[in-house]
Amino acid sequence: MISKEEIKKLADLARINIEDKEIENLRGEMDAILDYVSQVKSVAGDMKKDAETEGIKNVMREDENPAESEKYSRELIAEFPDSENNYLKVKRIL
Amino acid sequence: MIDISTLTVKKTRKLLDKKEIFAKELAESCLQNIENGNKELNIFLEVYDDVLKQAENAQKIIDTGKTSELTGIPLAIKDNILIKGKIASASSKMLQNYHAAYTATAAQKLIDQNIVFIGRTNMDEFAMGSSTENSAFGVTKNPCDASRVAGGSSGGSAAAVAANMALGALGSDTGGSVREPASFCGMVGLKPTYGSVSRYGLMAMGSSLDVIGPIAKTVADAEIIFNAIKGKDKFDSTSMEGKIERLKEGKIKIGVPYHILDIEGISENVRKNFDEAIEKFKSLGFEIKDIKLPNIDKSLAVYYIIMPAEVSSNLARYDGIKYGLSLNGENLLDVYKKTRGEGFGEETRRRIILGTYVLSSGYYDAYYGKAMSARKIIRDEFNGAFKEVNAILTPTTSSPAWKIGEKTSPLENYLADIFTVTANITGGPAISLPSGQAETDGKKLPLGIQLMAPHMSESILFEVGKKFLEEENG
Repeated sequence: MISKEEIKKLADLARINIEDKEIENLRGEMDAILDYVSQVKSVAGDMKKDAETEGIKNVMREDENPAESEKYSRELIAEFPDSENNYLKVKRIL
Repeated sequence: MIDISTLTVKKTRKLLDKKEIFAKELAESCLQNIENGNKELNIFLEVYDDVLKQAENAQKIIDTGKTSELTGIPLAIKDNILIKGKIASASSKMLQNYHAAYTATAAQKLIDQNIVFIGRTNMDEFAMGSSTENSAFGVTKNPCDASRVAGGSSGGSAAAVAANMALGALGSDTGGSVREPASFCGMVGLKPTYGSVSRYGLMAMGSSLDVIGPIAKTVADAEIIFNAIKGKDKFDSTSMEGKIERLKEGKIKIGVPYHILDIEGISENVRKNFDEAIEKFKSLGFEIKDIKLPNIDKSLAVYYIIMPAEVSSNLARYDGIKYGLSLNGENLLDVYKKTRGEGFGEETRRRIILGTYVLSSGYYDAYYGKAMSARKIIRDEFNGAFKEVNAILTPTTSSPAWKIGEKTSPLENYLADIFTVTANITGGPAISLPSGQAETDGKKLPLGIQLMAPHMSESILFEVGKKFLEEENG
């Protein structure tokens, strides 16, 4: 069974606070889900390793601005949780 | 007041153009039905304050005689598709007060035809679920039986059309989120070919699976809305222009993978209804062929690896910094963790953590790598089958709408997607058609069948669907 520590680690990696009670529930639920999805290992056929990229091609475009400068600025700035002089304000990082 | 229940998009177009009805009274009738029913059914999260103004503008166009197919038609929009200046919350606390900075291409194409957007509809948070029970703003009840779910994740959109609050609606389909609620509410739901409709302005869930699709009362109406929203878009590099595949002369062959109907959990009334649908297709002159899709039963497992993997990446953007909910913390990391811990609901958190697991080093090859290989095998199997048949038929769901609160474990909920996820795995188009009702507890619950076709062959689904529902031409 997936351990409490593993769930904690995953939640940390995903930057999500979860409570201890939820960790317990998640252990059982994740086990049931992982057990179910493990069926993919029994798919019949040629399980090629490069299937992820096969038949897929890049779509290229010119490296240019898709919209004129500042077209959306006002709306985007209005959605900032915190700002100062039209700059996005965040907590200090260092 | 106009009786919306007797109208289709097609019929309304004629009435509007002949000036027998007017866009404003049409919109007012929808608003009246919302006033009467929304409190109980919880279909719309918001009714736009400019509905009547939109209708007046549409009427001006109609008065000039230069109408498009959808001018003045009242439509509902799922809460994860952006309209500039309006709130789009994806039914999440994370985006409860988020105003869109731009308009989704699919929505813009409808606005260009001067449709009337009535309001935004309830859904499972970030489109994760099959019942809208994962909405942060309460469940949407099924208009056919208010003790049951309307399906999901586009449950509000399907219920809005079924409850005569709009003549059609946009939903989004990542694993069945248009087709399953359409089936639960007795409507037609189309999941178009991946890439046929631009995803620009649709909140990303599983980027290799997501597509916007219409919910309507008839196949003809779904076709009209699909034709209005499809096409290549420079803002979505995966979008493409479809070449129209017509059915060739001769008997149309429908393949039925009978072997998957033997899996556990298909309710008796669904099986009986499905067999009756097959008989109807035969009597309409279609040829039914038993086909084998050896790995189709693994589609759901493939889906529940690929989808959470993409979810965990896509939802990383909701971090409490740029927009949406932001909770204060001791430091930057604390802001992220608090915001995401409280802003996301339980199912969303679960899928992000599951996705993080299947993508983490040591498990990547065992889960994600295998799922991608299996995805290709399943796609090849479908391509092979479509050399022999024009379309593939299954039930849309294994049971009619369930009681609110009935399904308790996540896995039990996931199994509801068993027939629908395949089309998202292959990328091909699929449509759910109302196929009758099941009588349960004295209530008549809608049932649906699903038709799948090769990529970009929506026209096959429309042709076969119209014949099945005996829709008149013209």
